[in-house]
Amino acid sequence: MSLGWKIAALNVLRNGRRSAITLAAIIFGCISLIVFGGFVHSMYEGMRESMIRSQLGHIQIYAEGFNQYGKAEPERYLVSLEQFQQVQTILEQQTPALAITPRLNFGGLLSDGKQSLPVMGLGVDADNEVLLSSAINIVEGSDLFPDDAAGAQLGEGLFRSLDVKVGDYLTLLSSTADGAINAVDIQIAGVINTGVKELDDRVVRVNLAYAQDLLYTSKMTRIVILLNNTSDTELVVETLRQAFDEQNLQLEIKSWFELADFYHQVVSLFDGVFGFVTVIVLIIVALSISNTMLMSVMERTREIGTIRALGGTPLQVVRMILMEATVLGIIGCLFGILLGMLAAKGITYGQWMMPTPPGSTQDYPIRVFIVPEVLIYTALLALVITIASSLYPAIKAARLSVAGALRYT
Amino acid sequence: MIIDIRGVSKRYRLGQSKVYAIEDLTMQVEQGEFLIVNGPSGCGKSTLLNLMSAIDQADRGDVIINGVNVAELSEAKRATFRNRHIGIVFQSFNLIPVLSALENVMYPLSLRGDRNARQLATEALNEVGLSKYLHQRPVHLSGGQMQRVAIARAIVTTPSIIFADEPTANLDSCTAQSIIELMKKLNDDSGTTFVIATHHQYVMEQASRVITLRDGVIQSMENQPVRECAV
Ligand SMILES: Nc1ncnc2c1ncn2[C@@H]1O[C@H](COP(=O)(O)OP(=O)(O)OP(=O)(O)O)[C@@H](O)[C@H]1O
Ligand SMILES: [Mg+2]
Repeated sequence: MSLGWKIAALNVLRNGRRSAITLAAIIFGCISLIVFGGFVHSMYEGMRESMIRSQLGHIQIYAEGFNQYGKAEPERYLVSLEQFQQVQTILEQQTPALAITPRLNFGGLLSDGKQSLPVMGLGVDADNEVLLSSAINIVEGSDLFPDDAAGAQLGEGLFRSLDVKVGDYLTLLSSTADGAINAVDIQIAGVINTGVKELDDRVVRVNLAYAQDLLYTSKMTRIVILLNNTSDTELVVETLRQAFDEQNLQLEIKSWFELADFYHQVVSLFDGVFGFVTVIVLIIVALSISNTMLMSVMERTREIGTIRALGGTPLQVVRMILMEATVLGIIGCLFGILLGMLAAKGITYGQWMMPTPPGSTQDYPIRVFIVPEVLIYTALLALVITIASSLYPAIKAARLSVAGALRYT
Repeated sequence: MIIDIRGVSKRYRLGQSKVYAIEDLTMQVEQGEFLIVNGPSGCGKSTLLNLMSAIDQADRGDVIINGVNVAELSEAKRATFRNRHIGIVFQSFNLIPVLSALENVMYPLSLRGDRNARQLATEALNEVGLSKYLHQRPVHLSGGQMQRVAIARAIVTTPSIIFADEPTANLDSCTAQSIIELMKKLNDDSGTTFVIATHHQYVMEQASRVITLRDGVIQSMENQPVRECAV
């Protein structure tokens, strides 16, 4: 070890109390960033999985043109039963999925005799949809069963705004594929909570066959696919694209990533918040380090005068102090990362509940992930900020007058 | 001639007024001298030594060391110049507390990246009689031993001149005498030039020349009977 590094390391030990304060600042910074970063990532994941498993699925397949023109004329861009079966075969042969299920979306009015509310109707294959609805909570009543042909599930918000109870009958109106108005009776089988408020306020789930009867069609709006792992999505999308090309299937594919607008909004909002918190933490840490380093350097004024008198250049003095900061930074980083990981584990283990996040209707336990990128980012930032905030004390030390520093007692 | 000082003044601000610590002073130091600077407290001894050792800059006049006008050097160049040409011994030893005796002596060599630092430092500590204390930290050394380490640190770079500002003021008289003897021996044996600020009577007897300052000017300059001085 060179004399310079040795001096740096020994000075860190010599100024035990000051070093401890500096280390505490670095460790505080590391823990803050690791815990907050890990929390944000857990939130991203929770939200992503909840959206995928309660609503979006990993992949959705539509008739060609649906995404461009489907809004205006939804009845013209539907997937046929035959196409559905072809997709099913492709999946079975090439990339097994957890579930593949058809959905028919429709707009309608729900009436309890006194008032009518606009609803988002959803015809589902109840058996297949079970897996894809693992994040849907049944608040009251029961699940949807294919045998119970007229059974329906209402979103919690919708249910509350009607004066009804489970088992009651309601009338559901919609326009058929050829433009006529049709109505059917439904019986409330259950009340659901999807975790997404706007959905809970408007959704009505019925059996696919019942919805198809209502709309006079045998087709579906989309095919929803659920995979085992979210990370497989891109691969499966690619496989499907190729198969569709080969078999000349006129279908469009979208992954959850393209569909989850809300997810992206929240991610970019919280990335911004995380950035802001990072800056605040760094400022606090930098001020604390700078202040402590300055005191520790000024305490050694005469020693610095001696080093300069013996022929140390101002640059060599700066280097000496920055080396000391580097040693502190490395030690602080190591402990900070370690304690940050422990804190993350501890908080997750503690299972504290978090207040309901915006746009959601469920509580989650606080989870803090240990994210490798966050650890690396934190370690680098901590080291850089320690060295950078020691620059001012270092320059100040280097600019001391030699004669003055030697007279200092 | 190692040092040539011409018409040098140094003033310090004292409240509103400025006082001369050194005023219009001219003198030279020759190779191999054992020069003593004395005078009452506050007469400007430390100021003069700081000017001659390129630690401080004169307000007026020229300080020429080994033919170089130090005022023309940048701060960094002046530091490097001190490292190459000048040795310094302090009143309170000023060793680096976290380093061992050996590492303290190696330090000025390490500043210039000398690869032989360890060997040269060991030799220098031998020369001051501390070969048994190479790995002791300063706290475990006596005052006299610390000053010997400081002297080893001054000679290890083989400077043309060594300045010592009251090197014995923090030592008991017996130890002080041995330190003076060590410096005198180095002067005799290797011809190293010394400039020492001191009140110590024993030192005066060893001096090749004594300069007495009063209020920043030279009051008297006596050449001692040079006793078979080497070089
Ligand atoms: N940095 C400074 N600021 C203000 N005045 C100073 C400074 N350094 C020295 N002086 C003044 O300059 C004069 C000469 O000081 P200097 O230290 O050179 O004297 P000295 O002979 O070494 O004294 P001593 O025997 O006490 O060490 C004194 O009056 C002192 O107060
Ligand atoms: Mg003095």
